[in-house]
Amino acid sequence: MGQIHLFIVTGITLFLPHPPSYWDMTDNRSARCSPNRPSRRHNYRYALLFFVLTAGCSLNEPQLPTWVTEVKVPLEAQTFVMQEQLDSSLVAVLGEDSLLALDISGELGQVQLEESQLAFPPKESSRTFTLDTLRLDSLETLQTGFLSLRSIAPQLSAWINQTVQLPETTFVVGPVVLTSNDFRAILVKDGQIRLSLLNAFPFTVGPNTSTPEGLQIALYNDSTGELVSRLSIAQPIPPGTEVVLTDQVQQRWVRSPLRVIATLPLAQPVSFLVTDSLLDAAGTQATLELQHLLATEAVARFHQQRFRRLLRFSLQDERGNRLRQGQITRGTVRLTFSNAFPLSGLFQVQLPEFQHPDGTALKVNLHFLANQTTTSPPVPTNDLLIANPQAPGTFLDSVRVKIELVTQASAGFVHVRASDQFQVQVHIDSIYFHSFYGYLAADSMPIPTFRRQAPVDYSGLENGVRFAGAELLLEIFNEVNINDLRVKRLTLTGRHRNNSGQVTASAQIHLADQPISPGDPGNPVLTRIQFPSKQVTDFLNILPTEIVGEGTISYQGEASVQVQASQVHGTYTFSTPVQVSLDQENRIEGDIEILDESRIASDLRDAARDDIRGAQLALDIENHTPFSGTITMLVSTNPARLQGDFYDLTYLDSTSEFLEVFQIPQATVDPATGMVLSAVQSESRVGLSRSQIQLFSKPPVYVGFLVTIHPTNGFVTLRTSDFLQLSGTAMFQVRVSQ
Amino acid sequence: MVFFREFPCFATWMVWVSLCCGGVHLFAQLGNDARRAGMGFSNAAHTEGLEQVGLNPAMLAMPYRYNLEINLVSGIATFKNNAFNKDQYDRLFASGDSLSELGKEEILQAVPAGGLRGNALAQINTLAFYTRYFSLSLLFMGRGRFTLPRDFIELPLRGNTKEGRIYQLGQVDGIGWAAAALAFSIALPLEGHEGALGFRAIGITAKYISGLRYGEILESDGRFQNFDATRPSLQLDAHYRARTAEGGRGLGLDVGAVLQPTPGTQVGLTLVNLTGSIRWDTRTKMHVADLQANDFSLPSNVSDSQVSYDDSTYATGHFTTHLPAVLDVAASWQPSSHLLLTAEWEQGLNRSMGASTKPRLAIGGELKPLPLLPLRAGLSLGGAQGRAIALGAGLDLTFWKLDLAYLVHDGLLPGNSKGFSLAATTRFRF
Repeated sequence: MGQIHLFIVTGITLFLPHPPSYWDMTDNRSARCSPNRPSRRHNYRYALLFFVLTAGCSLNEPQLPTWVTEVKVPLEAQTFVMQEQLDSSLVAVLGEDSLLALDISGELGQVQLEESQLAFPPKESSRTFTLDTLRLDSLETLQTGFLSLRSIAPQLSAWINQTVQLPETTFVVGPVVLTSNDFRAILVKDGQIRLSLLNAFPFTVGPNTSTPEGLQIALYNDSTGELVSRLSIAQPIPPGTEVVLTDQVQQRWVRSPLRVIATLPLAQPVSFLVTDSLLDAAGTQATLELQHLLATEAVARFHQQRFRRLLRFSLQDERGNRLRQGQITRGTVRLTFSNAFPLSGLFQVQLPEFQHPDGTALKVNLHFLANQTTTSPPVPTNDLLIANPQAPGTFLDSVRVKIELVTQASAGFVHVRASDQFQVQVHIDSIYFHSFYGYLAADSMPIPTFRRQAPVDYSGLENGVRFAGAELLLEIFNEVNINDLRVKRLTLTGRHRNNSGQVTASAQIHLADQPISPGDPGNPVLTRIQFPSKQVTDFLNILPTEIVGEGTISYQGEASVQVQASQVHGTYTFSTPVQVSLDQENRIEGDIEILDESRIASDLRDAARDDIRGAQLALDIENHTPFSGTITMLVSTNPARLQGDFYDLTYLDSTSEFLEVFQIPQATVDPATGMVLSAVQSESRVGLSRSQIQLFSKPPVYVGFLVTIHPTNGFVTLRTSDFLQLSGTAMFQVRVSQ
Repeated sequence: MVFFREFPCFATWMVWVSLCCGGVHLFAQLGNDARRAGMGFSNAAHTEGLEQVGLNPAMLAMPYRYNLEINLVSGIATFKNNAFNKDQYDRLFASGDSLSELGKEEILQAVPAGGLRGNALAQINTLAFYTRYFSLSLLFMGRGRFTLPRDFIELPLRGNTKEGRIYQLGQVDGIGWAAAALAFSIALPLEGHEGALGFRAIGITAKYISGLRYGEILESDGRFQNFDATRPSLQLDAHYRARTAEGGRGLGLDVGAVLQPTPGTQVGLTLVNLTGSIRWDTRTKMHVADLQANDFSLPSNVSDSQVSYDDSTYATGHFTTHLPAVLDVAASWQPSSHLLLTAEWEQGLNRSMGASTKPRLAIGGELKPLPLLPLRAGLSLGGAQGRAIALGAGLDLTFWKLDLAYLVHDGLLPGNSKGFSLAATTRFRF
């Protein structure tokens, strides 16, 4: 259309008497009159005048013009401080000059005593005991019952109600048989027979002419006739008096029933009126007691027997460790009781060196049965203290086991001999300790293989780097209290891997026999071991990207350690001022940015294709580092580059890729110190053509930066203040259109 | 790249609202008659029949040789800016050609320091009837104006090449509205009651107004700070608030009086919109846009997260705009039946709805060498339209007439003018 014809033209043509023939309507943009045409009628002069005036009434349709404008965008100043560019975990600052120091540190593997290194091996002790002596303390008292005068001297019945005169004479009483319910036979090892006799006669019993020994009582084993004991008393026994006779019996059988025969002499002639009541009321009686018998053998009803024994077993360790005191982590005690006698009872064991936290000793009780073997379940010794309770702190080379047997009363007669045996077996599992106080024999602890957690990043430096000097510092924090503790051997291995992971160089450092000061758990003692050596410098010069170490720590002597808390840990630090000499050119290849469609918005792609006609980059570079080199930006849409070396600049397809190179001149360097004296500034200007910009309309676009660092002229020194600053502007010529 | 994406969007939106949210446009001068336009809008003291619509209703009482007049159509349209003439418009904005550096500089040279301002107005009187002392008219009218700061144009044309410069992107102004009005006018001759001032007649016009569209920029502010050595980043902060409505209702009242000091001389006094307002209550909305982009720089600070662009629209309650009140004083002198000379002074009394309070003075004349073809000319100075030269002609066939008018603004010829007005009127009379 292009224009708006106003209605006034139509109005004029409609209402004029004759349409003008000279309207030139061929121009489709505006209706313009032809001023050279002559007028035919006078009236048309007015119309002609009017139209000339309104010729400008045509109004073309607006079309927003297109034009190219310039968009200028600042490049924010980017300062690359050397200290920040290096791996922050590698950088330290030294001295007043703020020298940058390479500081590669890592953790030594943590070393601690293993439980097994302090543990005592399992111990088993077995011993057979005999009962030795049987005690029969409370046998039943045997009674003869009352023996009347009528039964002793029946001839007196003929003298009833008569006074009878008796000359010196002797009565024999018995035999009387006494049967015990408590035993049938006892081989008395030692014991006492005690007999009480009552003189209820109307006369004094005592020695006389015919029986000068006085009263005599004989005890016989009724079954064998064997004399058990003969008791006598030479003193007169007045009527109504009771006398006690005792006899010590040793190594003699006493069997039940016992036969008792008594000889009763009248001490002097006597006369007395014989009556029936006298004959029945007068007489005698005896009581027999077997007291405090120690028997060698017995067939008896046994009351409670108690036997005590003591057992010891050694705690000595084959390695030579000796314990003064220890806190047990875990362990068990098991008891086996083999019973070879016919009594049941309770088997009690006490281990005084194994002490509960309240100070009481470990006790184990076990019920046993006649002639049977009984084994206790494992008794845990966890958390018990093992020490000598009588002399704390002294070496504890053996452990006591106190044994006590307490038998139950037998239900019937049992035959027990003093030679009967029982066997006690004590099994103590390996004793592991929380804490160990004592002596540790010579041994060693491995330093576990340790590896620096993060790979060391030298920010792309690969080739020909030489450091001026380096040292290795070991800082060992020891919480193990052993008299003689030392690093027996430590090997650090450094390897340099290239970007593809291949090892390109390696070096080792060996350390040996370095003493470590003893410490205590929670109170580590620091030992510093420093190695300034060429070996260390050579180690760093391979630019190790990974560091691996391993070794051992030896120990011997008096120790006071806790298994989990007593440990040795530490760090190693390689340090060197960053005084380097680059002998070769170093290429630092940046990561390849892949700008796909998600990262280049469609409107930006359209703009790159159609609207951005050109771009210029003005880059201001201020270099305050002792290095010089170039920064190469490579932009490519050729995916084949990703398959090979992206930064291979020997070929370049100008239709699909381009590169721009920015030179970085070296700052002014003091040749004596290698430090930068002043920065150098330079400006780089590059321009991108439209075809180069149009590459960004065809994602994916691969963008990479290659930094090349030129060799240095001798050693140069890096400081914290060294930096590389980039700033500038980017200008785009952008076409603005509808 | 949100910065580069959103800024044109924001700018386009502001311009669009400035130009278009008012939709149709409204007249600046009073009246819409082509005869009046041809005389430079100076004949308020000498109108005939329906010509008084929008002017002095008292003129209904003045002698007119027709008793009935029916309006077929009468309309006027004006487009004007303060920068570009038509030649420039055709070359720069209508050819579709790419702008050369010279073309860009020509545009920037043309735009005054105060910015690019544009006005557009239109008024159509469709159905209208006149009998003596009365008239009834149905009008459609609209008006719009906008102002764009010069920096708003310079920045995209030249780019941000001047480091450290702050580009003022605020002060965007614009208003537009459209309405239909039913105007009933009545005049009262004062023969014998002229009073001390000698009024021949007085009149009054009552208007019922139906608002169709309304748009107004209430607030705009913006600045773009280019980078420099001390601040190496781009800063953009722009804010914009406008309100719109799609309908409203209102009433207006005009009063006028006419004097005839001497035969052939008439003086008219009119107070347009003595009172009146439109209450906009249909789909009233508030539009708010904010664009912020701070510390914009390459390569890292170009993320979308650094650009904050909020464009929100929410409904608001009704609001009221007062009708623009105008005091109009006009005079005419008709020494003969072939010649009429007119003058008019117009003073806006408020700035409501985009009106101007800048006074306008106009003079004009009508020559009838032939009664059939009246020729008209006029000159208008001041007011919202500035300087305008008017030419007009008519075709008077007694019972039917056609009047046409053409005005150029700020120029002598159409090619070098910075705007134009066109008017046409055709009516039957009996």
